[in-house]
Amino acid sequence: MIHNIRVKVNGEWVEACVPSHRRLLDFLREDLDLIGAKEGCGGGECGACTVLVNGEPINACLMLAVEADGADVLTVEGLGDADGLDPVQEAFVENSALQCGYCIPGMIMSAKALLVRNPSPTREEVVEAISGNLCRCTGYARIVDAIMQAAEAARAAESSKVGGE
Amino acid sequence: MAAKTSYIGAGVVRNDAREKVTGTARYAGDLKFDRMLYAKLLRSKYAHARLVRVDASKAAKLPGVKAVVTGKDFPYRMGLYLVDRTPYAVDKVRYYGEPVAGVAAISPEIAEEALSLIEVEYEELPPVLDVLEAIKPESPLVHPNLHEYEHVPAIFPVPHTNISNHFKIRKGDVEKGFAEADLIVEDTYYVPQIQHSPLEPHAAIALYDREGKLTIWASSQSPFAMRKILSQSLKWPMHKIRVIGPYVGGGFGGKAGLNVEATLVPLAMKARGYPMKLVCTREEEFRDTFVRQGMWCRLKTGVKRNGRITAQEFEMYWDGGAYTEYGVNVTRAAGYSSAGVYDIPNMKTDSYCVYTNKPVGGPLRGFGHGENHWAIEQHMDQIAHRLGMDPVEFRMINLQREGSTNATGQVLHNVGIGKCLEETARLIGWTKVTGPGKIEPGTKKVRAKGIACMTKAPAMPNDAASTAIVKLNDDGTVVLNISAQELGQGAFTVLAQICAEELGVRYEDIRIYPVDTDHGAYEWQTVASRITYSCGRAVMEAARDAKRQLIDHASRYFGVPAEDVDVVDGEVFVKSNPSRRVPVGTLALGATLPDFSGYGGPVVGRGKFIPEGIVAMDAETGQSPKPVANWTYGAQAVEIELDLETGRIDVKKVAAVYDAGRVINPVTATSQVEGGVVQGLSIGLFEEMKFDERGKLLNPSYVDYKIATAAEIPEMLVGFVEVPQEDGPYGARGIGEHVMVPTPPAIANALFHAVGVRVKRLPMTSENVYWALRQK
Amino acid sequence: MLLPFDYVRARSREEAVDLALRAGAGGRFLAGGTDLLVRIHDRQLRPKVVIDLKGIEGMQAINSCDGEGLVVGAATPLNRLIRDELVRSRYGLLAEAAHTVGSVQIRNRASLGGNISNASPAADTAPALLLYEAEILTWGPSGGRKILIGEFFKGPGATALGEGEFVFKVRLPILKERSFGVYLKLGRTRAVDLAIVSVAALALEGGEVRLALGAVAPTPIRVREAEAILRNRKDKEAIKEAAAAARRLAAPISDIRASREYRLEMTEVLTARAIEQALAGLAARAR
Ligand SMILES: Cc1cc2nc3c(=O)[nH]c(=O)nc-3n(C[C@H](O)[C@H](O)[C@H](O)COP(=O)(O)OP(=O)(O)OC[C@H]3O[C@@H](n4cnc5c(N)ncnc54)[C@H](O)[C@@H]3O)c2cc1C
Ligand code: FES
Ligand code: FES
Repeated sequence: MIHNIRVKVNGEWVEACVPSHRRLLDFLREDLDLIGAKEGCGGGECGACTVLVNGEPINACLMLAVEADGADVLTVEGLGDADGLDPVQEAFVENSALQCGYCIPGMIMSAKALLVRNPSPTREEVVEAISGNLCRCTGYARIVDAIMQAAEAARAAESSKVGGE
Repeated sequence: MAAKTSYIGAGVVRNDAREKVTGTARYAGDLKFDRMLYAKLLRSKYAHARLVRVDASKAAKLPGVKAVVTGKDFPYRMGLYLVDRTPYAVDKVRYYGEPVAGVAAISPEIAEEALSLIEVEYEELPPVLDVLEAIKPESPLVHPNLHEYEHVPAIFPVPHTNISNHFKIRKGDVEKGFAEADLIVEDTYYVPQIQHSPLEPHAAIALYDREGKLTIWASSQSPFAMRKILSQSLKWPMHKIRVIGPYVGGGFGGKAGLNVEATLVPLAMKARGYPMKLVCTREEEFRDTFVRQGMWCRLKTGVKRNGRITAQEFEMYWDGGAYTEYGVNVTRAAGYSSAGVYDIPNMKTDSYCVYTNKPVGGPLRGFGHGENHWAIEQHMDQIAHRLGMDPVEFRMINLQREGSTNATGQVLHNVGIGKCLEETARLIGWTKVTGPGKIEPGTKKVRAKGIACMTKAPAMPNDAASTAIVKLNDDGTVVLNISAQELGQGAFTVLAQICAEELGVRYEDIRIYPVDTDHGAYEWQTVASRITYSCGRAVMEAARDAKRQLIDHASRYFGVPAEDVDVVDGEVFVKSNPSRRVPVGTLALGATLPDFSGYGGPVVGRGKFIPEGIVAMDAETGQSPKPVANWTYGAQAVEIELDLETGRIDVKKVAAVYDAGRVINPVTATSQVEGGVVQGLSIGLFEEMKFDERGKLLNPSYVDYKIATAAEIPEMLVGFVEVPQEDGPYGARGIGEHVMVPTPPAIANALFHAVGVRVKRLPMTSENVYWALRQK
Repeated sequence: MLLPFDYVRARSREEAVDLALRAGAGGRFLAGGTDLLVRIHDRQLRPKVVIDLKGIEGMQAINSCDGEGLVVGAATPLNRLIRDELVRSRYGLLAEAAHTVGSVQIRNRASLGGNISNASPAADTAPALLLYEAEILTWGPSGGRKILIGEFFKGPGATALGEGEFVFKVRLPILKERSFGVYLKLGRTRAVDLAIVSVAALALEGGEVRLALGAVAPTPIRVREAEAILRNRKDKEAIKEAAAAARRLAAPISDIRASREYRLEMTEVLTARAIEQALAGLAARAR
């Protein structure tokens, strides 16, 4: 069965025909060539496929493309802008919070969602937010540091904005 | 002018970071080509069975299917050290999961449907699943034709047995050594098969084009080795095979040598002109790519009352799985490092690689050392305990030091383990062990510390070489052509740092591109923690060569002697008159002299490295004055909290200190250690491949093969010792594998110090620990 | 990659039932998909039709009805449940238990209805629902009906749902007394793992202590015999006895996650701990 769907992907509406069994992950990677989200397990365990749907992180391997009809989907490619990286990405770079990088797009999307919901997380909250994102390389410590730093940077930017006005 | 700041020892930002945080970095599975087909494999449902009939004719007729192969179509044996493996099972299957047939089709759905149309008739044979059974004379043979297989000279198969390698150490006189001992301690230890489990599953794309050239894009640590194995096996000239290596999403040894790529070759040859992609499912990744071999061992040590070790006898039986083409070398490496970090005058070691009907054993970060150190480092604590000595004090007495010999009889110099151990003890706050840990008030929990040491050398053939080519562009940027793989370890970053340092350009101006065997500089493999050491030396030499050329150009350009010219931060200048300067780009393609004539030509630096002076070990005794390129030492200590009622171990703190010789980048080096510690912790507490009685893997998924999540991480205190490596770049030596070796035995030792209970088989799951506590 | 099936989004309860009846054995309801799609991916299931329940009105709503307690749409994602103020304040044990399910990503999709319809003995929300004495409001070929949670689970993977019937809502009756709940889950890793053993304890101000176990019997079970021991005594000895009773009532199996024997031992350990913590929590709350 084929479905016509309309999905807002990284800010742009996309119309497409997808078969029922197409996963959101395949739709992004194969149909839209957005290869940032990775498939690490296909079973919801590794988090490498994490993207935001209506602002919430989900496993794109466990959602059908047709279920995303009408939704707002954000992938790692949608972060930052022409001028530069998103503060979360920036913090990952500065902290060398990555090695092979395969888990990183998913990790960053989980971090992004956390900071939108909770701009001042504790270390424990950061750990919880990324505990569904497996990383075999880094030992996670730097990733947690980076997210804490991104939160701090965002707060600093926010307060300087307030002060300047 | 400003003093030049060195890139060596600088924590520069990784040069692959931006690409990786933006999702731009491409891995093999991200690549796509026009007309691309999707390959899938039909895998054995038996661990050991004769293939009576494989009929793929119906699959071949399914619309959309472009190629179908079975073992009979392609009976070529392949292997890195022992040529024992065919891409598809030919006459019999040797493990549950072995490829029996392959299909390439225009969609993955069709490929999978085609698989279901392939008919296979098996005649089940008794599976050989236990390594100790497999060595018995009456055991069924996994490879009855072992005696016919080719192998490298350093490997010693025992014909008509399941033993594919028997490595021996005979040093001194063990009988005499045990006779001199006041105490003899003997015990057995076990580690199960485990999986590397990189987050990126193996992926490859193969194309056999109209010209008869085979191109493979692969998630591989070993593009050149892959080319070599294929060329030898197929008897094709090397230029007919091209391997391209995009970023690798984690390797840990599992992507070394030739892997799933081999199964694509015959399919590609049948569907000429079609690129085809194979991506392992997580289930395949767990079961059908290299795993770490299991190992059962017996260790016996004699010791004097004063703590000095007099003799050691070590027998290791490796559960090598169905094919041991790579695994044989693991068992050899674990054999020649069987003294660990200790100076033991009399030694007898027998390391047997044994075939079983289990998944294929191969290299995994640590290459046999996580396994043998699981035994050695617990054993040392056990001896210390029996002698009533503190574990650190006992180790200090026996550590290898200046002038000591190791298992191979090699006389050692500049040994850093003493410093590592001291520093580790300091970082964790080691206090003399005096009886069991104290129960935390108001809880059922005990805290305790444990410590373990390690050493490892790169296990590689003596011609494992590196090359580097440095090309200057006329915009001043630099192309560093090397074929080391960026697996996440930070190779590209560190090699760019070395290049920038030597050439006098900015680190940011150095570009490294994906490996391509057609025009890339030669590199043996990205394994053995050897890239910084070996490729680093080649880069150093190539950059120096390029700099010499630049200076030569500049000397003519400025009309000053070469000694009066230097290159710093991308500028060439006259030392005696620094206002005379030009960007390196100006002289990159040669110098234009005042009379407008040209001089020199484009700068291309070349460098190469091969570790020299390595002497093959004696076949009977394993003795050699220099058996390996170098030894890296390190130590780790842990503090655990044990829940006495559930058996759960929480690792609270880990201190880790390694002798890196010279730390080129403290950030990437520390990051390696942290990653290694957590992987070690994960192996220590959770990881085990479990099989049913017929050899089927029961936990080929993250649901039941647990690896550490972010919630498990301990506080990590990382330190480095720098005892320079003579032939390493700036004194550097490798640490990539070493960093996860001592974590499990350190945890086990902490457990003993907590409650006097020893768990001698991995993993230390809550349940395993619980029953050990109860048995006490 | 998944193998082909048809997806239909039901717009009403009636349509969902109709679709399910027509699809017969080839039909499957879909809520969050965190279980269903995994099974399809692993080739354990190959449905012909997947019927999405999320479009049905009320399936994702949380409503408090005065005097009736709280009614949760069966397709409500667990994270919405956990973040809901009413759930947190009045049914804290359920929020706590739901919080242990999978990861953030999983909980953004995984639903309460899916968790119980799966009927896994280890379903993390089940012990809490048992202790709150939830009512399962279903919709099926003959309309709506109510199943007490205690009668809902029939065995591993088996529920009291009939053909074409699905869980529409879950009603949590009002608890008149002050209470404090504790959910202890023993997994292998500290995050994203299924329970080897789980124990829920709910201490009520009136003196009752309710206890339920997960992963140690063919279904999640409430252990009233153990509860009875604590009716009038809450001393160390009574807690010990109750824990021992819980162990006696458990009937676990050995599987890849743990042996039967270990599960039994842990049932006792965790039950004692859960009771202690629940009583201490209630006492602190009363202060
Ligand atoms: C990585 C991962 C971790 C997990 N961890 C946990 C955990 O820690 N604890 C735990 O308990 N579970 C866990 N699960 C299992 C699963 O996420 C939960 O059981 C979840 O609550 C299922 O809800 P769902 O909405 O996703 O169900 P779905 O997958 O949509 O459905 C599950 C089953 O129930 C049926 N169904 C769904 N809704 C209804 C309904 N309203 N009426 C009738 N039938 C229905 C479906 O047909 C299907 O058979 C985990 C799963 C994954 C992938
Ligand atoms: S690929 Fe989706 S969670 Fe692993
Ligand atoms: S960086 Fe390799 S998996 Fe996280």
